[in-house]
Amino acid sequence: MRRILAVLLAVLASPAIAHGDHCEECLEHHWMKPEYLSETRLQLIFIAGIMSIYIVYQLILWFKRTRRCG
Amino acid sequence: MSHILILARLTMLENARKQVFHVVTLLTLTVVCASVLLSFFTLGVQVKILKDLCMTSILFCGGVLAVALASTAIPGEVESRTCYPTLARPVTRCQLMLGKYFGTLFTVYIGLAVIGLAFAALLVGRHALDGLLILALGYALIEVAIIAAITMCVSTFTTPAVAAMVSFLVFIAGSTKIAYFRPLVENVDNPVAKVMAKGVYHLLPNLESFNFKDALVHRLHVPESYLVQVAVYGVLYAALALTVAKCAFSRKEL
Repeated sequence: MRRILAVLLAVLASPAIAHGDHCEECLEHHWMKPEYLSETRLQLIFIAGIMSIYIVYQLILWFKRTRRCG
Repeated sequence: MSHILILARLTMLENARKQVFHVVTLLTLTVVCASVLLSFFTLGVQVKILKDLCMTSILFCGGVLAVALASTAIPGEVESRTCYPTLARPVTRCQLMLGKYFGTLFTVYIGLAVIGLAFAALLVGRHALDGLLILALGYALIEVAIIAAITMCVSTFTTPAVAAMVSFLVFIAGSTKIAYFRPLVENVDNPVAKVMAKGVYHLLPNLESFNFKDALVHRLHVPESYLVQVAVYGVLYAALALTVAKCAFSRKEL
């Protein structure tokens, strides 16, 4: 039973074994791939843009409210 | 701020009594501890398998817990009508939602901390503990924050079951976004369907960016600029999802 479990776990984790330190293809991790970098950067710019518009909109609302109260 | 902290504390106590939290945490803890059965292999490979298996379990457990707990946080309050006495006090809907979110998040973090400690103890026993473990676990926590925020956002529009299902799909699709989802989108022939698929593709969070399992297993250096970019991206994505959730929840008929 213990051997079966060990073999099963080894099959599940086989990428870790196959992933040799000298395999150039496998050494291409997501922080080295341009498509990951560009996608993250694109989403980052998009989200930052939306969030800044929302913050400016909330600030305008706040100024209007305080002026009316004052 | 104190209102949010009080609500977060109460949500943590409520979540800590839920069965799903205990079951998923104990199951993952069992998988992590069962990794010591891999004494067949030589020490180097054994440590690699241990790290790979444990990090995969932690990432999956974090995602499942975030989806399971966050999907019932707000709808549960509305269904059981316990949100009315809370909202009758000087507590805004936004504070209620943030309290629920942070309470859920801290509960998941407690579960992951227990599993992370067991993982670290196993690595200490094999003299393989390094700083990359903190990096990998830290980014797993940011991933959990994004999934919980998305689930919270979806749960304000729909029922808990639909929210859990949609959020779990987003978690799976986001975790395989560039490796599997991108080729699928590029192979679509119909131009209208392609535009829609691209829209969904760009809306999905890039959860693969938070997976530093490879760096931990193979002791690789990750550029600091990339780490900062991914951390900022994670925080902003969660903030955007919470903003959408806040807008939807403040307009919701209770």
